[in-house]
Amino acid sequence: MDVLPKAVRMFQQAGQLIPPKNDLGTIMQIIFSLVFFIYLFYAQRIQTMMMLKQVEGALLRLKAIRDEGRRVALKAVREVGKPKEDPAPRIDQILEQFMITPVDLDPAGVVWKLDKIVNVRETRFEEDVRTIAPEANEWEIHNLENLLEAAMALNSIYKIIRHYFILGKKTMNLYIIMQVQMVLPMILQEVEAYSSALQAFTQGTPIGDGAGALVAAKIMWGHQWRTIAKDTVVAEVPFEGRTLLVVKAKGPGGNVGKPGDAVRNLIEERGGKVSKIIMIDAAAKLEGEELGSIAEGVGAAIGGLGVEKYKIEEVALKYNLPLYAIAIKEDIKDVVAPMKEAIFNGAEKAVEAVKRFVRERTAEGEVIIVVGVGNTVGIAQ
Amino acid sequence: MSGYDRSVYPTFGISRTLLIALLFIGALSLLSLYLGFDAYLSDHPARASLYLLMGTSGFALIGYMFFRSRSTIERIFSIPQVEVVTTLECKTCGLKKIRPFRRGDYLFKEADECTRCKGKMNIVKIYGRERAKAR
Ligand SMILES: [Zn+2]
Repeated sequence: MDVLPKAVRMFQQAGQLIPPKNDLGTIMQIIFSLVFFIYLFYAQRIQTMMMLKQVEGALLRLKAIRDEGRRVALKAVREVGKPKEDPAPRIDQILEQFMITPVDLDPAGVVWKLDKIVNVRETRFEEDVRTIAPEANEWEIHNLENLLEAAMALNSIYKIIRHYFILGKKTMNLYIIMQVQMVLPMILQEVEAYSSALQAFTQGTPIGDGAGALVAAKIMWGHQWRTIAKDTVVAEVPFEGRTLLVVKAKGPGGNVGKPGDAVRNLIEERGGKVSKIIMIDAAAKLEGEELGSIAEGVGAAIGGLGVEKYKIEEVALKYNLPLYAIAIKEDIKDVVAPMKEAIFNGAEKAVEAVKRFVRERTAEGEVIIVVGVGNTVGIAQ
Repeated sequence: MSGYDRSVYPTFGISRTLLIALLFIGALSLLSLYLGFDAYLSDHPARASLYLLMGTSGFALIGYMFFRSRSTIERIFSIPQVEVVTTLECKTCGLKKIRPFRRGDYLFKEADECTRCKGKMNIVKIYGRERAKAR
């Protein structure tokens, strides 16, 4: 450890910077050296405190947004659901709900367990919302569900950041605080996205994630539709000698439906006599890519927990069906925000891309499944 | 929970410790400036510029701290609100109309009556407008 002699040398040097001229000069020199010394030994602590301050600032903002989320949800439930008793305690209880994912030590069959748990959660959530909003109609219930889910996400993000902030403050451990401080920009971006979801779901405007559903809706509009799986509809659309089976979640309530079940049911209904599956979904764009641009590829284009993706891949494998994908590029912050015009135009381009695909790559008489993936809030069929 | 929350966030704007620190730095900076002018008048230009540098950087630091804590507060309550517009089109005569989004609107809904031919108008487009930025 040669820190100390070095420090002493530096102290002397620092002292020489301001040669004392009078009493005031001496005092200044002492203070200057003292500040220098404090910085020498407490630099890391000062850095830690600065970081804590930054996290605290973000936390204050998070808290304001979390509270706004709760307020907006409460107001919407009161306005739309007209509950007889005060819904506030029930909403606070809903905001704290959690889901435990199944054990994956032995991963075989874990997707079906997850599917089951997700279904139970959905049913329970819907029941809860129905209880606090007895007057709401079916699609308003779905919008309230989505609204509460956004409020839940804001609440849990706030609580996790608060946890690390308090832990960091207690331990004054630079590395705990650093961890939060480093991910803060990404977290705040996510929070901003969820906070714009509040507006979308209270008013029921289409959101960026609905781009896929919008494509399906535009293709199937004006044709007879029927329910094929829970909250999911299909329409048979004749197109230049082919038959398109267009699948989307049932709108205009906030819904993602069960595209996996829908595709399986459709294929089994027709005894496997389907030639191709095309999926259209919104996809996260990289920085620098154009908003609303489209890209074509292969594979199951669907996000979420992976349950529906698994179902589609399984059935495609079983019947040896090729999976094609069309992605509509958008930013993370657009996913749950009211749909921007560029994304709307992107969906129109995707409709053309689907038509072109069908013309170029399928023969007359073929049956093609077209799945519009995404939350269909504000989009009917 | 709310009680604990308050103890965790004592700072809303500028905390007392920060204020004291700022006052201390301010006093030091003033002193430095005084010494700087003093040295300047008594013909010690090197020493004078050092003191003046210390004084001005002290004030710069204060300004920076103020600016930072102010901007934090301003950013807290900026929850984005997007202006959403609905475009309607008449099925029979093709008249187009753009109006602000109303709750209950959804795509393909038969919403308003056509002002030209009294036919039904369908909602054909709903989108959020980027708020125009001041340039
Ligand atoms: Zn008309």
